[in-house]
Amino acid sequence: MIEEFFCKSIGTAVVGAGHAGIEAALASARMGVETVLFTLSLDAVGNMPCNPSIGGTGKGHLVCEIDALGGEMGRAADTVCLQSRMLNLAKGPAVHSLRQQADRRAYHRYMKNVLENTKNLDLIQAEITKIRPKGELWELVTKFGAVYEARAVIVCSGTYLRANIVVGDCFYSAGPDNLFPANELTDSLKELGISFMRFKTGTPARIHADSIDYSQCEIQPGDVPPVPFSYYTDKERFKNIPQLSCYTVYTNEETHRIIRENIHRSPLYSGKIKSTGPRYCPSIEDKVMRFADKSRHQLFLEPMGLDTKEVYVQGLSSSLPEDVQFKVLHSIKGLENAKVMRTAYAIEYDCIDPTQLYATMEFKNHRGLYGAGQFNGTSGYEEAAAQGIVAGINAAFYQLGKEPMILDRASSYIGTLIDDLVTKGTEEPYRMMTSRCEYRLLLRQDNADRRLIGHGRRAGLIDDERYAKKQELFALIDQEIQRMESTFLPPSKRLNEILAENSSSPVDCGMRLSELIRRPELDAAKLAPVDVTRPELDSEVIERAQIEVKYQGYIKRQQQEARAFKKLEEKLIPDTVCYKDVKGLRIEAAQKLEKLRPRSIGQASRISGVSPADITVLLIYLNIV
Amino acid sequence: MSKTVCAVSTAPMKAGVSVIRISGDDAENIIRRIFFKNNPDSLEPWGKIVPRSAHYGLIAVDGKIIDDVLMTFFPAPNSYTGEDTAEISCHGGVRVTAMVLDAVLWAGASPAEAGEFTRRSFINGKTSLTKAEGIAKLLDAKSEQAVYLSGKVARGRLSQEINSIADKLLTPVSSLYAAIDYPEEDMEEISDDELLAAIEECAEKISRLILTSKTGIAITEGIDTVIVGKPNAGKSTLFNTLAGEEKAIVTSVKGTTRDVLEYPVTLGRLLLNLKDTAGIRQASSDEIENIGISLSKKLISSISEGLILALFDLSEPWDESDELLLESLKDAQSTVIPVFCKTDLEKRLDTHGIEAALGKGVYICAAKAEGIDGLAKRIEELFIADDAALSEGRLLTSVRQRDQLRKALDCIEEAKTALTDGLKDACGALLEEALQSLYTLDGRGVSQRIVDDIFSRFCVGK
Repeated sequence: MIEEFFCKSIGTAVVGAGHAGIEAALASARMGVETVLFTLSLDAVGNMPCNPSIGGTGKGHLVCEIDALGGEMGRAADTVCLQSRMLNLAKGPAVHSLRQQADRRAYHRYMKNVLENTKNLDLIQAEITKIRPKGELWELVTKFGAVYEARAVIVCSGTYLRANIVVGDCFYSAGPDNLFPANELTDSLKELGISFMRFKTGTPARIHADSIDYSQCEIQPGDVPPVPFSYYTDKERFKNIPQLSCYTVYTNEETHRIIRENIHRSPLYSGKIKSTGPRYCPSIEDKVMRFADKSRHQLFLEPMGLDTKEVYVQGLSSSLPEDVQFKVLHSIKGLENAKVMRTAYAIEYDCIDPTQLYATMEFKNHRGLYGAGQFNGTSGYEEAAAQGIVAGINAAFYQLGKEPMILDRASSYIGTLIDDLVTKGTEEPYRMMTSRCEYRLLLRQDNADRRLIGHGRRAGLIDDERYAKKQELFALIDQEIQRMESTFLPPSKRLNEILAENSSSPVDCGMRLSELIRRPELDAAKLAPVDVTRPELDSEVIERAQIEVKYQGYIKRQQQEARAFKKLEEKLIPDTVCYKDVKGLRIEAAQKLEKLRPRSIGQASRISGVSPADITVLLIYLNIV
Repeated sequence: MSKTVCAVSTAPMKAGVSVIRISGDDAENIIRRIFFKNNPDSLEPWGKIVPRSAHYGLIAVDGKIIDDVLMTFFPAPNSYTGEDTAEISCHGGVRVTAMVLDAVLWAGASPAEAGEFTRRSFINGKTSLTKAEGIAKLLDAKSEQAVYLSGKVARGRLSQEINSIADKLLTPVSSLYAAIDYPEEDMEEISDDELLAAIEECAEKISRLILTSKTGIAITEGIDTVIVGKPNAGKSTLFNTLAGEEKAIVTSVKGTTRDVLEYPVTLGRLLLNLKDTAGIRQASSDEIENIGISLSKKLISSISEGLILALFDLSEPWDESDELLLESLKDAQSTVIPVFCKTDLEKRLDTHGIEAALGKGVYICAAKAEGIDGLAKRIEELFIADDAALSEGRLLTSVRQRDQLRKALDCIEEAKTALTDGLKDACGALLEEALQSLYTLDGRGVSQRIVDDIFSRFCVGK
């Protein structure tokens, strides 16, 4: 029995210094609340135990939104960027998604440095083994017995809770990257009545760059010019950053044969791993077994950093025994002689059922206790960071006696992510996807600042200068939209030449600039020679104005939908409702509603098992028809 | 706690038996207050009431016996409304029925609002929205076909059809999203052509379903019908022949929207809502003065998607009035049938020009009620396009259903444009909206307004 001793009284305690914990701690400290960030290892702050990249479809949106709220992730990624690519360029601006390869160790150093230099913030290496209420406060106890008293606690334990690593028959207690797991906190939280789930995820092997036969690989260079995530990054300077390339290779029939022959040795198939893994990021054995008709699977070779030869083999995550892993790797063209530096593994861990949380990330039954990141059943650095910043802001607001920040589905990807989690829960590690957002034409990367800067400003995470600059930018965009709508291009030889060059039908009586821009084959740049009133503007202004103009009809449509949605979101349900007493509600619906205690009729209507008829009953009961 | 309500469930007329339904938490208590064992000499309360069994006993208030009745109790949730429900079958006299109802009200029930029982049934998840609409139609049904068709809808055929279209649309939509969410995966992306083909197939199915609304609405809601023609062509005679034949069961319903009187008249398998506009009645008293181009035009434009019976007098040669009528019919938003009247007189009209412009005519002699069957047959031909759909109940039977499908179709059309413009994100969003419209049709994501609208059209008692 370790003897406890009182150590310190603080504002916010953040447990875990991964991507969620970092944003949570930074937000809280930057909002003026005394904050302590606990980590199992100072050498693993902001660690990327899986892919060395930030962003991607849906996730890129999250990073832009975190940046718009005043978070750190985008800035960090830009700083350590090895390669930048805009995905989905051919599928419309709403789904443009930025992804950057990141230097893993540089990312860690950058984040640790920022944390160390943030006012009101202490970064401490300690394992928290107990979290318990003490009146209206919380007590956190470290493994060495130090007791911290905090007004708010944010648990960001990632994949560390009672974590097990599995490789074939080899099964041992360890966190990601062989770091120590946290084996005691789960029980302490269970004593509070919090219910847990067990999830599984996995990571592929890292191989030595010099053992790859690049002549057998397809190269995948970065964009020219590269685009940054963050407001703080100098766009011009970023254009000139040196970029590394990624490469693609493919599995083949031989690879698949090896996997099929050894499938009985996979802990996933032998039943050793029972926890739920993500469907969207399956292990190679899952891919081969479930999609038997596919003759090959694509793999990406991604550099782990400038100062290392480690290369990440994306798409080959596995928990097969090491000898099978080697055979699998060596069957792949280009990787015949690949030297494995880190073996692929699966990891199991405890996480909570996120429906126990409010959209503020606070536990419904525990004032001042918050959860964020993989602890809440999500997957991915970006999803974690997004929840982290929301939890951090709300923990600070709570202590400052201010209204919490709730982002709804029509406001952001972050809002959609959180609403999904707290309303529907999740049965597998939750990954953000563009298809999860019904308002995706409104929720673009390009306008993240405009959508969320107000929230960041209220939290005090956006300083005066940035706010003023952004307001100026928004005004310029609006002016340019106005100009595009009101400028009339007279018929001219030059105009018809331009149209002909772009195989666009000629005009003989002149046309509004906006209408020409709406033609799919045209854009503002192509029309520039005949657009004589065009002012000198930053390319960002033109680009953003053009998106609004091109998409006008679709955007208006979604805005209407969003307004209808907001109406239901604004129909609040009093906290005092006892669903058992609402006559006419089906028992299943009453139980679900009682458990989830939705904030609004809108949220109630999204709970699975609650039918439109139940909502009608509720509306009638609450007399808010 | 839900209010306990009651109403007479059978038609308010002299009949053998009237059924009074009581629904709500308090149904059993209310019954116990007024329903006693069958012993007129000494009223004795019931001990155990057996669920779903008929109990023969007495209704009495203040010791005064009103009627001997059969009472059946359906405990929640196994009842029509999903609540505790009692049904009293009393003797069918209007006065007796009213007294029993008074007794129930005295015992603590409130009178049910229009459609209240079905509304509760929907609220309690006992019936889906399309089914509820079918039931509404069933109660409203004025023709045999309507009863038959509403029954099919109530049994869910339409829901099935719509869900199968929605499910079909879901596949390409999810493929599109998969490609957007996994741009770098080595998977077979759905090509623009495939996507286009898939959504066009759905669009076509929706269009076809929308076409059935003409038949469905004609059968269940009736065809708005006006009669136009020059003075003395026989409008009033035809009107009276159609309406008069049905006089025994015709009720004049004050229209809710346009303030005209409607005479619902069944003709063959269809229901015609004959519009007795002031015009026609005026015309019959003082024809020459009132008939003019403006009146014809007004009548013709007063209905859309309905039926215009354009009357021509066979016994009169072609004249300016016929010319004007033909002219004004050009703007008609409804089906036009040329009707040639007075077959009993010598034929002086050349019908070729008219039939060339308006299609094949129907010959009648309204005064002798001749040719009415031919007219009925022609109307059926024009309004029952798809007999198979009709017999299977795959018909849209309400304007709401049709408008909802049209919205879905609009979204799909716009999605096609977005796709050709290379805006896949917009395309996806629009297809999703179309899906939502399709699902709304079956009450998923239904708005309060629609629910109110539907339930406001139920008559008290069901």
